[in-house]
Amino acid sequence: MLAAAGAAAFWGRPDASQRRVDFNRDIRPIFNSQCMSCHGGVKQASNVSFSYRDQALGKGKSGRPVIVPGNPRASELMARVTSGDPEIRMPLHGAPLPQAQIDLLRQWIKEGAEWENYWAFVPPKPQALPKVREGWARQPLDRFILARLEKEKLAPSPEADKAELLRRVSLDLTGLPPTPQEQAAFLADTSKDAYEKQVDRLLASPRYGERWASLWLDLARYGDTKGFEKDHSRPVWPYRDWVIEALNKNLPYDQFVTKQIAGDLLPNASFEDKIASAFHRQTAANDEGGTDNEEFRLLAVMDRVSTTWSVLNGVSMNCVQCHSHPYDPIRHTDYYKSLAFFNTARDADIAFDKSLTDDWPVLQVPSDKALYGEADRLQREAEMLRNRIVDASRQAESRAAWKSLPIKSITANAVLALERVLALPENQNEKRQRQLRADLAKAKTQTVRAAFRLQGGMAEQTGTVPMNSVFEITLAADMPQLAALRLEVPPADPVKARHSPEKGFVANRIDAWVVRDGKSEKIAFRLIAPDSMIDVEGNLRRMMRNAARPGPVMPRLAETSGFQADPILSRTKWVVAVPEEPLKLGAGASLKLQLTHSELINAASSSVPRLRVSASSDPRWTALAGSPQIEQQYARLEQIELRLKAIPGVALPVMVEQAAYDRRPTLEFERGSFLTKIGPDLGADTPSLFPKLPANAPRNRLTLARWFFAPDQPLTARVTVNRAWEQLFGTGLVETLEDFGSAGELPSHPELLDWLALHFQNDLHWNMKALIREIVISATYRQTGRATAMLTEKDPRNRLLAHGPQQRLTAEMVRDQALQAGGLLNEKMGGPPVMPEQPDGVWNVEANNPERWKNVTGPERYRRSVYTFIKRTATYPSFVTFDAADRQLSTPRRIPTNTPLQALVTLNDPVYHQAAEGLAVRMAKAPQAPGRDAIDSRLDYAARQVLSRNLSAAETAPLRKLYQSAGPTAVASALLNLDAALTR
Amino acid sequence: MKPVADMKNIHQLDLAQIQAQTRRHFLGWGTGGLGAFFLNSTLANAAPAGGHAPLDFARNPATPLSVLPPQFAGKIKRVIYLHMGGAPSQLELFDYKPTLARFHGHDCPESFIKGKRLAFIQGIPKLLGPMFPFHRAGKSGTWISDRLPHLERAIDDLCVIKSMKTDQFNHAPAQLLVHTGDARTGYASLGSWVTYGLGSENQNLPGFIVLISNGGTTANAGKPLWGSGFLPSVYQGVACRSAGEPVLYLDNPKSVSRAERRKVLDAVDEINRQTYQQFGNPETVTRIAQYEMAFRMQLEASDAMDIRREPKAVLERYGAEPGKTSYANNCLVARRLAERGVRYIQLYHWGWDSHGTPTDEGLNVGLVGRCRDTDKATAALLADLKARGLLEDTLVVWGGEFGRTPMWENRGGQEMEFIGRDHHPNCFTIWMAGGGIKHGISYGETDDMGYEIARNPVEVRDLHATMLYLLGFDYRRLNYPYQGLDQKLTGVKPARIVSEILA
Repeated sequence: MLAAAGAAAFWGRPDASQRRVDFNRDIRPIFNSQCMSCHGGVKQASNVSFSYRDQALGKGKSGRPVIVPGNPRASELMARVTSGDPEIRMPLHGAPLPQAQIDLLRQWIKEGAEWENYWAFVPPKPQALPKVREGWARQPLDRFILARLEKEKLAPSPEADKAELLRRVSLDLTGLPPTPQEQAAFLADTSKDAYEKQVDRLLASPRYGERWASLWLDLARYGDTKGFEKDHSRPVWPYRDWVIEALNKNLPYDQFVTKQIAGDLLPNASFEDKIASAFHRQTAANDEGGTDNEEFRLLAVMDRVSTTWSVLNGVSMNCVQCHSHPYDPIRHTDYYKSLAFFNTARDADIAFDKSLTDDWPVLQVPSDKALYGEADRLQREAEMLRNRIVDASRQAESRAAWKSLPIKSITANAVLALERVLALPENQNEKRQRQLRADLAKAKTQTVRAAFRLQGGMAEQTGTVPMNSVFEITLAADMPQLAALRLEVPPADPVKARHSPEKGFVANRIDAWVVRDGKSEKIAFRLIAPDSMIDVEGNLRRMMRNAARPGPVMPRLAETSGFQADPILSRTKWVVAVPEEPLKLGAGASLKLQLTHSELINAASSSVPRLRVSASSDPRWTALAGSPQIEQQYARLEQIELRLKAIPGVALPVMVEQAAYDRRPTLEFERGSFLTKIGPDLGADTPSLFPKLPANAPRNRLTLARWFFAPDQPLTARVTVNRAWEQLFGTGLVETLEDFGSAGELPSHPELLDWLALHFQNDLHWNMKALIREIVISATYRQTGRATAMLTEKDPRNRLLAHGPQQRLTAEMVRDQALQAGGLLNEKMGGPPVMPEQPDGVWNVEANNPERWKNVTGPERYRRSVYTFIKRTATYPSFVTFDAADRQLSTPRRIPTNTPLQALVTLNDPVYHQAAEGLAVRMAKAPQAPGRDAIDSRLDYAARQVLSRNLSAAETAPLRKLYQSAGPTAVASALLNLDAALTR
Repeated sequence: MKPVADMKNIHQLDLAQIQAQTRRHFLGWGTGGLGAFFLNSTLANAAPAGGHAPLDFARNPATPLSVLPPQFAGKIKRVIYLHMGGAPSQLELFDYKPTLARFHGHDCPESFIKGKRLAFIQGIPKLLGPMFPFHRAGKSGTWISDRLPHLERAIDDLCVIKSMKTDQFNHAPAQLLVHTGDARTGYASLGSWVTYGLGSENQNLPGFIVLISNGGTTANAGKPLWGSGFLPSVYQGVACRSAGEPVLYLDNPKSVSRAERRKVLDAVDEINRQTYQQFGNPETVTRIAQYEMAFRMQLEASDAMDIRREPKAVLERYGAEPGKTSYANNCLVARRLAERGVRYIQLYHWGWDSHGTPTDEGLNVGLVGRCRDTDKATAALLADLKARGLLEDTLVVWGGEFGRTPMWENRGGQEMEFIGRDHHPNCFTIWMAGGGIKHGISYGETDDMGYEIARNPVEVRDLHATMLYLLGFDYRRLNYPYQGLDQKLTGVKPARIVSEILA
């Protein structure tokens, strides 16, 4: 691969004879390009690998040591690369190594075969500012650029003229070109710091956050839908608005990231911190019927791992999912230790059919920010109440003595279940009634094929259970008094289920009778005591869905309460039903129990797979059920729910950690397959290649997020400054923004990268605007974009920066510039995404997703591009054409293309035509400029709108001709399509 | 200011830029005699050979779809992929199972369901025998049901693979696997890989065109199926429409005539040349070329997609009706695109998801309808390609994303109103026709119940490896660096070229 060879040419690698061999510069590229595909982290053919020094010094299958430090003759490596026998010579089947590489290897071994960590994994080193010709540099960074140019015997280019510079910096900082007024003000300002004043104005503009948000939202894989087949909408725009606001407020980068990775875990997390945690809820979710939710939950978790590492450190973790890293020293288990940080969040992929909010857990975010405070207080209180309810219930359950009540018989009744569903208030519309009645009629004619196995008092499903079904159970009740009835559902394999869960269930109602002397007496339950918070939410939600009835909360709640392992069962799930008064049973009494299932999990039946029942006579149960606290707690929860429902807003998916009793262990997946897990529970940890986590900190997302900003973290600052550099110059100092590992490119200016990283980290304290400011006021940035023929030949990609950048506008900029030029741009900020005009039929019509793209009308059409609705399975077409990210996965870098389809967009997409018409109208009103006739004045006016400058005489001529033969709209359209309009 | 570059130099600049792609650059072709070596080694499925220099996919950025030679002489030049979305039942069309018919209505064996991940079936379902009669057809005696009388006439041109398998049992991930080699979104599609590797023969049309028709309900993974993933976006599929504007934004705004557009483009061209002289930015040269290409594409794409230009007899053979959105129209358009040198033509026809839940998803209703929608047009396409000599160097692939169970679906444990089968990843049938493969054969077998593969399993990645081989590539060497790996269509697991079906 030329990655290495090309860099070598670029850096003028010295002969082996001249100086000591440098492992990273000279040897690692040979290993990576020639050896590692067979002898690396993935494959270790003949037991030989060059991933780690201890492996490379070991013996291969032949029994001979691969490398003997100091002794090339004894090193099998040398024998193999120099052999004349094609069966023996390495690389096998490939061309022999060039003599120069063989010499380097020999000398390196002779010099002791010293290994070095790859440069990117070594923290940046302080750099002295290079000595250069004085007079040009404006910023320290310029000295690094100039030093390199001097070495290449090149001179920097002259400073760009004011018009060129203002256009470049305005688009770079705010995503919009300067208005003619702004241009005029800058041209008129002759003060020495006129340019710096413009930079400060632009950095303070709210447009700044909107422009830089697009970059971050690519990294965050932000989308307004959930992805996959159904691709339902997902109201995540409060997170998008948080990003824009945080950028505008210039939240330091360390805080900006920490809040997004672990805002929910911050001590005294604010409402906004919780909104920020939606960063990692941007993962796709699969609502397609019949999916394995655990599979897609894990896909989302793995996406969180790879996104975190790629965004913050430019390290690709994806490939370590299945095996050790092919090139970098990251071991397979390191991946799962990283995964463990993210594997204990509560979310679980599916659209929970009805029992919980879609995309649970969510934060109810009011549309009106003035209500954030109230919404925050209410939700904190609700969480606290749910915790207290569960704690009381778990405590009571653990201290009570339980006596097993063996199940004597169990049957499934579909007719009864349907009758109950039919009676629910939520099913009282005509269509639903008709359907349910038909189902009921059918159920009455069919025999239920359900079957159960009874063993040791427990019942287990073996047959086919109808979608809606009531399990009717009789129990022996050989005890004098009963204070509480416990229903338990154990997994088939309780040990394995902890990490590889089984299919879950929702039992949404529990009824029971005492049968004595052939007579049944209904038991009035007062409390259905839950074992986890999901039940509190599920039971309450069902009550509120079905019963707007007045009256005390406890009896109403008992009617709709059950228990649920939704969508998966990972431990023995239980619920305790507590009657108002202890029941006197006595000899000959038995119990009849009905367990109703009429919820679905992911469009499939949700009945309990097995069941065992036990009872307690502990009077403390009766006390708990009758306690005023618990009644108050539930009553207050209902109040809170009602109030939250009344506040207009959205349910934003956020990160929430599992409770301790539900906490998932993380095991290694064999070859990356989640179906086969091996080894022990791995604690959360960072890869051993990196600095250690602080010893006493809890191993959670917050500790991880903070660790990325530790002083000795080698990559966070480098990756961040590199990204800002790439946005402003078009190419990063490390071109492969996504890969700082040894498969990525070497930095073009390694000393500058280290200097800038340390400066950003230690002097600027992660201040993003300060970093950007230093770059854009540098002499390097201010150079003209004009390239001489000599420069274009010598450095066609301008990696040396002997002239200023020339970048194509991003997809968002192309559209926003046209809107502004046409006088159409609507500067309203934030809120739900908008659907500007797009052709019919772009948005796929999925049978079970009734949502449609509805072209907005009026000024909403012309909102800034960052507010456009992002449908993951059908992205806004003109953005895709201009290389916007599709927001499926985190996109570290947009690679600009240049295609005829782009021309068709800016020529024919209605929004560009409307912009051209708008500009034509404005043009007509342009005042006549001194020394120019009416037409030329109009052309100049339009050019200032689109190109941010006046036209040259040579440019005026063809436009004037066009104006006279085709009119002002044609001129406006031509301007919007000029190369100069698409470039900044 | 003195011009810093003139148009004479543009050619040299192009060359310079070829070496300086925005992406990584690669060395040239490695060692000589590669093709011959590769053939021997792949057909023996040798271990990946170390030391090959990566292939060179660098191009003049002005023509990102320019034709590159394949790695070795390919057997075919283009692909027409007919995807039947929703997954048609192999047991009703190609995979005849008389034993299953005998056990029709019996409870299914426990081994079919125990520990298996099934989408909708619950409890113990019954077995469902074939719904339609089968017979042997053609000289080859290939089994086919009575639902495809038109295709039957082309049966001796087909290579039917009855032993396809996948590891995905939900539509979106399974479709993604078939078309991108990965069940997750964000990976490069087969068509993107092929146009990235080979370019396209017609620079005035997109190299990878997608045509969609809906047969009843839809079920799909959407645009990611033809996305370019990590490959440059120019290699993504362009969804064209057989009604309305064939390519998005192809038509000028209503008030703009072609003559007026020409005037606008002349002005743009003149000023862009000046810009280039001043700034010397090679991207400007590219842009000048792209605007000219867009202008030509407006005519060429409209013409290619306009089936009104076909004789009435041809329209009738396909069952095509101009102005409608239909599979038949798309088949005819596919032939027109193939004639014009488009590299990869992807058709989607949805509605094969025969669960038996709503009417249109019944094997006895929906599947019958889908056969009716497609049979005549598919057969006409094959015959037309053959008659024009195009079938020799075109590969036509027909198939869904997985198979269907031999069990009668009992969603929610109930008997359903219409007859259906659940999703079945263990085995399904596809067929291929065209260059480089054997004709009139059936490959692979399933067991007597049509539940598991009994002989010669073909993984999706094996199909991909075989298709790439036919196009002239070693699947291991059509690479792109991303996320620390040299990404390839077939993913990280070993793939196999199905050499037994190669002609």
